[in-house]
Amino acid sequence: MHNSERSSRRQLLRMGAALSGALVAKHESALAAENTPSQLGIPLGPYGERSPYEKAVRWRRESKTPETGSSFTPLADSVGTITPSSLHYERHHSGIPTIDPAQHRLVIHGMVDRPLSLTVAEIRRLPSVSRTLVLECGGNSGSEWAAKNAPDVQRSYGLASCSEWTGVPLSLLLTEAGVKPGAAWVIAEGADACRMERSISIAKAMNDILLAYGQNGEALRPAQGYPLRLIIPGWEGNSNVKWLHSLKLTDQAYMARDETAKYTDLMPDGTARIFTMQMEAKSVITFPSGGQTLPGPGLYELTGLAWSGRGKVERVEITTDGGRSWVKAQLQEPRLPIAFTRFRLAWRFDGREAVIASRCIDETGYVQPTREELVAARGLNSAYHYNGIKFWKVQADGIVTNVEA
Amino acid sequence: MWKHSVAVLIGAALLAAQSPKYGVGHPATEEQIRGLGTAIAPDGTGLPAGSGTVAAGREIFAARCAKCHGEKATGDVGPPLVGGKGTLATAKPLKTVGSYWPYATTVWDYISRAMPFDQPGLLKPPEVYALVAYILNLNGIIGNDQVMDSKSLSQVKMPNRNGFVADPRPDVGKASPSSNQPAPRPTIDEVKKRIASQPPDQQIYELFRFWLVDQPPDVQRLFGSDATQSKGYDLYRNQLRAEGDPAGEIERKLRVIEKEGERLEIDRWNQVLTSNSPRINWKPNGFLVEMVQGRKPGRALDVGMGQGRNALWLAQQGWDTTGYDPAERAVALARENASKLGLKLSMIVAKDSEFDLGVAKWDLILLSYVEIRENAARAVRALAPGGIVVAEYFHQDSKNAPGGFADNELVRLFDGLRIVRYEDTEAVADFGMQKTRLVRICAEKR
Repeated sequence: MHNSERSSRRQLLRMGAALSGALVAKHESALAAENTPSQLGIPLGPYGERSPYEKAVRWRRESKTPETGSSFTPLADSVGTITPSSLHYERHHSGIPTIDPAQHRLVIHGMVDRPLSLTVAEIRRLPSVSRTLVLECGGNSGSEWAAKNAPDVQRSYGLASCSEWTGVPLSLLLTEAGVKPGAAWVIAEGADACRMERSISIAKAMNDILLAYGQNGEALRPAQGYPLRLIIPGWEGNSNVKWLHSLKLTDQAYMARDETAKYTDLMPDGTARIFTMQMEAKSVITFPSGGQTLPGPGLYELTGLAWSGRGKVERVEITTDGGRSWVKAQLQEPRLPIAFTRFRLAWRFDGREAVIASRCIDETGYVQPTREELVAARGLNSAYHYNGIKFWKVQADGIVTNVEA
Repeated sequence: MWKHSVAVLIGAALLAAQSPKYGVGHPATEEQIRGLGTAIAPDGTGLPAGSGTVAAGREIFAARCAKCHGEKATGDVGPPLVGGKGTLATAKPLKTVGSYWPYATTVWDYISRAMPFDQPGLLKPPEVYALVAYILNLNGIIGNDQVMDSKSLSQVKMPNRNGFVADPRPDVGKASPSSNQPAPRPTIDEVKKRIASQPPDQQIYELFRFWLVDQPPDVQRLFGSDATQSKGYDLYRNQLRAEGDPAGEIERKLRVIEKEGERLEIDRWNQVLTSNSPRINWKPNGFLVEMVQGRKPGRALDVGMGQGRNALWLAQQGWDTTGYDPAERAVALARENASKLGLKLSMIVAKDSEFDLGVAKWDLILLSYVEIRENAARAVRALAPGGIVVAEYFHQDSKNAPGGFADNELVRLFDGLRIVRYEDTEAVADFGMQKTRLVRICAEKR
């Protein structure tokens, strides 16, 4: 006892207030042999890495074809509202290409007055804008339709991430090329092995699409489309074409595989909704969430993320009694349109089973629906664009699980 | 030629805005564009020369594709490419090229750009044609001897070609018409809050419209003709005076409403009809759907088509459809949605006074939440024998819109026709999405 009091004073004297866990550990061992000099830390480095004690990683399903598939952001481990670029979710179709930006060209052609070829350096010379935007896969939370819920929030909601994106308004470049009357669509194509393509309406293209080259203060990561990609505010991730090398203006949608066979929503009557680009309001509690355990009764800060493809989050409401009553959560400001909004609520876990959930209301007045409402309107086979309220069960023993539907 | 001049104006505005400002980049060469490879449109644009047979496709498939898609193309590591016919509306839908894909051109485009998975871009055009022929043949879409080339491929009609519908969201999760009670009229403060971000002139007009809706039917009718309109404006002048506006401000507001009324009304609908607002039913009108059921499709006219919720649906049911509306942004949205669904219909930017309905030429005329009184007589004239008119609007007791109908007024308007159905009922209105008193009619020309 006496020894530990003295040691903590010594630590304080030596370290000031910066008591990180690692340093405490190191100094505790130093105490064992008094008068042993402190070990120096590792030298300064050119490109930072996180602490070796931090273990959160993207999750992906084992596959015989690892070049295609999805990897999920560890939402339960994320703090604040920005997703580190290294943990941004991925969805690729034929692997991540290695592209030398000096060799890369973006070609704007088709129904334009002046077909243009642009280098990355030329694009970076143009007036730039930065926007913090959520990007969400159209298939995010798709497993919730079948109520065969993934065990944790990463695997059920992790195809959504939020970054600050920097680039040039696409309208600026289209105007440089000169949009011909009658041009109604932009066919965007990537330079990955399968040349992924999507059709985008000219109205959206001239409105708020960003041709991005930057993410979170540096160049895009290769997995996020280096050196150029589209960022389409509020639209499903798949349309945000990565490794962009071609924009062809046309009078018709090209009905690409990913806008007909995939990313269309099958209804109970056998018809399917097409060009369902808009992502709707959504939220999920990330703590406490599936797979976590509360150490015991007491006061906790319940927290999670809310967003809407249609604008700002107006309000988030939380239930801790299975949906019988809802209270307003506190929202972290500033609330940015189409961006992750962090919500929080102080909550006392009394050691009795509690069923918790959040629901998001966006600035258009849209209220995040229940799974039952979604299923009533769309059946069980629509696969994409699930945004139902997510319930977690905190058991009496503190273990958090899915609620069986 | 109002319609013509608008098209010219839009064209001019687009061109004026589009001279290069930064002069960045270099002209893209033909060679560079060719080097990007092909992208194929649903009408076959972009398909290269060459052709392929079912037999040739069978061999290429065995060599290149079977290891992932299975020997019989029923799926393995890769997805199944055959089967699933008739399963889309069941609990276990199987979505394949045969059962789901709407265009054969997409099969060509996708194989050409993305297959085989481990060597995308390997196949030459004749090989791609052959594989498409083989897969279509496996699905029973083309015969054993049919050869695929740029012409024959773009003419293939896929079984699920008409299986796709426009995005109707928000379909859930909006503030729903919660009770069975008719909704209370919004307060002036609620309206002011709702329109706060609109241009000042538009706000003046919206407040005038809010006042008008609350007036008795005889006052609303004053605004229906040029002869009595000034009496109507006198009443609004009194209203503004009572609200304490200074005289100069009152006259300014009235000038905005009188002089700019038509433009402001069009702008209003441009905004409303392209808004995604949960207060509008973006699905086809329920009464129309019911009345059209079991009718043989013919020529249909949608008066005041808006963004095309009804016209596009009619076209999907096989009707040869024409629609018009003065709200040009709404019509542009209708065109965009039609193109997404691959629908061909005639969509025209025009006011009632600019659109000639003709005589005895339509099998269906739709008057859904538009000016019905002014259009009734010419609609009757324009119906072909056996054709129907379908109309729906508010009753005058409803406080949701001006110009509502008195008891049985709608029946009298279509007096010369056989009344198939007439309803005067409390129901959720397509505009407002609140329960209120509506009138609807379906009447047939003999």
